Amino acid sequence: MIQRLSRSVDKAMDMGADFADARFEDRKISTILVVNDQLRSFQDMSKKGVGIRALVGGSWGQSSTSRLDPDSLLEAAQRAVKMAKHNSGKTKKEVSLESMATIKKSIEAHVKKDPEDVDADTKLEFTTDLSKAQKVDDRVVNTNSRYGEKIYKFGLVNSLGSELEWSEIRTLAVAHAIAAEGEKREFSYDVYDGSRGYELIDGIDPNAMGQRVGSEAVELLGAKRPPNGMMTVVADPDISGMLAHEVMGHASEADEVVKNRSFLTAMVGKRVATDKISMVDDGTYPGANGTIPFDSEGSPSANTLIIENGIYRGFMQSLETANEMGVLPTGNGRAEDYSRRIYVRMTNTYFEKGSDSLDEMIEETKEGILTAKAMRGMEDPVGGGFEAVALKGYLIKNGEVTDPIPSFTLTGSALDILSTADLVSKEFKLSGGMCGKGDEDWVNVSSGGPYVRAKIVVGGA
Amino acid sequence: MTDLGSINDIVISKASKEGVSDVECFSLRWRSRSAYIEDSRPSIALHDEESGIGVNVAIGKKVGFASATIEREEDALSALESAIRIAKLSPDDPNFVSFPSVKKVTRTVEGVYDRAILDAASEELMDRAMIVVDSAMESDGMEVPKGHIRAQEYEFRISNSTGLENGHKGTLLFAFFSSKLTDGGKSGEGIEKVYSTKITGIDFEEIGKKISTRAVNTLNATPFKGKLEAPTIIANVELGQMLLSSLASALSGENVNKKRSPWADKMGTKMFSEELSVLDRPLLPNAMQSAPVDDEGTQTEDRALIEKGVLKRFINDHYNAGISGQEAGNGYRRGVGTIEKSYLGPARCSVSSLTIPPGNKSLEDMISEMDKGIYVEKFAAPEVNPFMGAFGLEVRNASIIEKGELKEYVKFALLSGNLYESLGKIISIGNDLEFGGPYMISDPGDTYCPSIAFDGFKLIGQD
Repeated sequence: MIQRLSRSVDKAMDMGADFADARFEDRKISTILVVNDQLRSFQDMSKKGVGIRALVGGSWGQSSTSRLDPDSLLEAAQRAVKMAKHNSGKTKKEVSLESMATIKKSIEAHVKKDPEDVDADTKLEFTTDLSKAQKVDDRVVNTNSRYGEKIYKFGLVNSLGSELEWSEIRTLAVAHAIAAEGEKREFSYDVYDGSRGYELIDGIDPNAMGQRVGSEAVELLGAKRPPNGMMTVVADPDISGMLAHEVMGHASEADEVVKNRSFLTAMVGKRVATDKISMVDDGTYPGANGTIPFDSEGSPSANTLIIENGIYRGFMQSLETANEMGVLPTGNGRAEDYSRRIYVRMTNTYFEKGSDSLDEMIEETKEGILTAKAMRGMEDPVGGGFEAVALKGYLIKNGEVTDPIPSFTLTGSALDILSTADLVSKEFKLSGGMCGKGDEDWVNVSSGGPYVRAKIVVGGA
Repeated sequence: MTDLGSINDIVISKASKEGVSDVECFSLRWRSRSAYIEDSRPSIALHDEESGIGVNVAIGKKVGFASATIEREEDALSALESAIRIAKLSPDDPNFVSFPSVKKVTRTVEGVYDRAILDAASEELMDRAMIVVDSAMESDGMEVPKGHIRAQEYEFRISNSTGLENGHKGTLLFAFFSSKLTDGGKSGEGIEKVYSTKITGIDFEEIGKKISTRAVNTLNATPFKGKLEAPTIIANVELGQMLLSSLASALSGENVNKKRSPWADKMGTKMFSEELSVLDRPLLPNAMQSAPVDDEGTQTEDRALIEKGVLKRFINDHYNAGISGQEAGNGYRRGVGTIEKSYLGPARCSVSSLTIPPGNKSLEDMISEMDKGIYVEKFAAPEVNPFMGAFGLEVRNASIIEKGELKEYVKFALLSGNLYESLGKIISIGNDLEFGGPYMISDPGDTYCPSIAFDGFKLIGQD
């Protein structure tokens, strides 16, 4: 395949491209879904194809196909150059990638237990046990459990002479229970995922995980309505990770910065948070869901410092943005797959751990909320607004965790929130997932970090 | 490569030789072109042509599914092999009976196939994207940091071992543009999304004007302070998104069968305002999900789900219809916003176009009738808890209504309430029907809703 990719890159260059690359991807995904202790679906997905990208002047063309014969790839290369040429006439922007590094390397995913070596019965038994364990009492009316594995193989060639082959392996376990009492319905969930093999699943006790999720759903049936207004919030790693990822992270993606769409564009060297806050995007973090050896352009992943003791330090880069800003790429040029465009995306993004303990943070809070797990968050790189929905939380009164509260929303200006961040825990946890930028282009990421205490507007129904 | 129907036939024929009792093939071919704007300039154009197949097999009551991109017949047969392997490993599914058995469906739906999309190369899409940019930039200082137009045509064939053979061809257009206006240290952003089956008739210049106006309004918005409980108008597109994340889930036959729906035992109950009816309309002209068959090959019908506030019907795919004894016709896998992932999984319960019949008031009339109120044009993410209807959503484009006029644009505020409760407190329904698009871009399900004014919501500010 590398030879076919090389020939298509050569073809693009012969036709007048200033730079070209071709990437082959073979993605295999297997999932098992058990609902109410019964197998609901067992699926294998295979997606294989090539995307060829050509740069002419300041514009790109990309053509992709699932037909992998040499002629189809040459045709795709021709089409990519044709599109790039058409668009280059409409922009004065020039992009030159000639100074970028050339890399030749082959890296296999290092896992202790290849999920393909584990028989399906074992995976099915795990997923079924995880469902059964959620039924902690009759109020649990629906249980769901999912096992997933992703096995990706990549090949990449570019016109600078880079030739790369690598693989990525990820596994996943999800439990999700719904409890009902009268008209009231509540749910809870838990997820374990990462760039790890089946050893990740072996490390999970499905009974303990399932019982915990079932019990949490039942507990929420008795939860009081959440309060509204500005509160002292001890944000758990999921919610602090949302703040890191959705607002500070997306606004630190250099494609937003070069077009002046980020509220952090002019903030390098300035204070954006209390000195308790440091933040990185680390694509090298061992075993995390967003960990990658190379990005979709073949740049090695990196640990990129974004905030250092409250001072804003900089951005995540693709080849193009690094060229435009005169810095090195940071391994953040990522695409959902071979048919999608490459642009700046996060990997594992989090606030660094602090020196406070969670117990101390609660003890020092007279009145507030402790959040527990996130349901979703939304980016706002332009306005710097934070919005996240917590699955649940607990009221804190006089330094003690008291009553549970059901789902609520947290919002406000991210900089305002971070300017009140006065305690950061030494407890630390990353949670994985998928990040879509705008409405699409999903890539594997993780976020999380420590517990962070700050003032945040809380609202819920 | 041979045509999709022949690929399905090859797989079904091979399956019968392998001892498979039931097999279903959903094969899909698509061509996609995209044009992206970055920083008010052309950035990248994409062209993608692919085919894929999803194969569902049953050996007795053991069911397995596998999907694959198809370059050659061997890829489709390889998906079959995987599906058989999975089925053999699976325990019995007591609820599985068979795949649908229906006659060939010959009727058509209007407005779902636009020849102009077939002719639109990515170069043409880029030219149209630049019309949006130029139109927006007629306003001083306005920029268009991001824009995207995608045009797709697709064809699917669904065949199974009962002899069912149906299919459909369609076109999809998706556009997203974001404008930005900066003044001093303040920025305002305007966003517009368009989902359509056609490129014909889309006014790209008007999109540019719309995002420009929205950026100005956001720039002038002030952080909302305090709390305001007042009648609230939710704009048509945002309301559609709220309904897809909540109502569509509560009406799903799968969620009813699995006891996930809060309305599992509410059939025939009056639950909402008399003014409210909700229909599922798979035959709605010009709608992205519309087709004469669903993605299992079952003939589709427009059906009332809620009539004058009374719960009348749930939606079902073939599997869940078999459990509940209700009609099938809502087994979908085609994404409304983009087609290319549609073969990757089996069909599941989904609405087609969730439609609320319009009232007789214009949006302007609804605003002018309010002494004090809230108008929300856009949320950060319009998601509602599907089990309880509760929500607390950050507003991105919203205004306070005073004495019948939009007075103050606000930001950094949450709109909080319970949608299910407020569907029983409808003040008025607008006549401004609009397609809302899918909740997630690769998901099935769309909405066609008017703006509605509700009682019972609260706006919460920063102090």
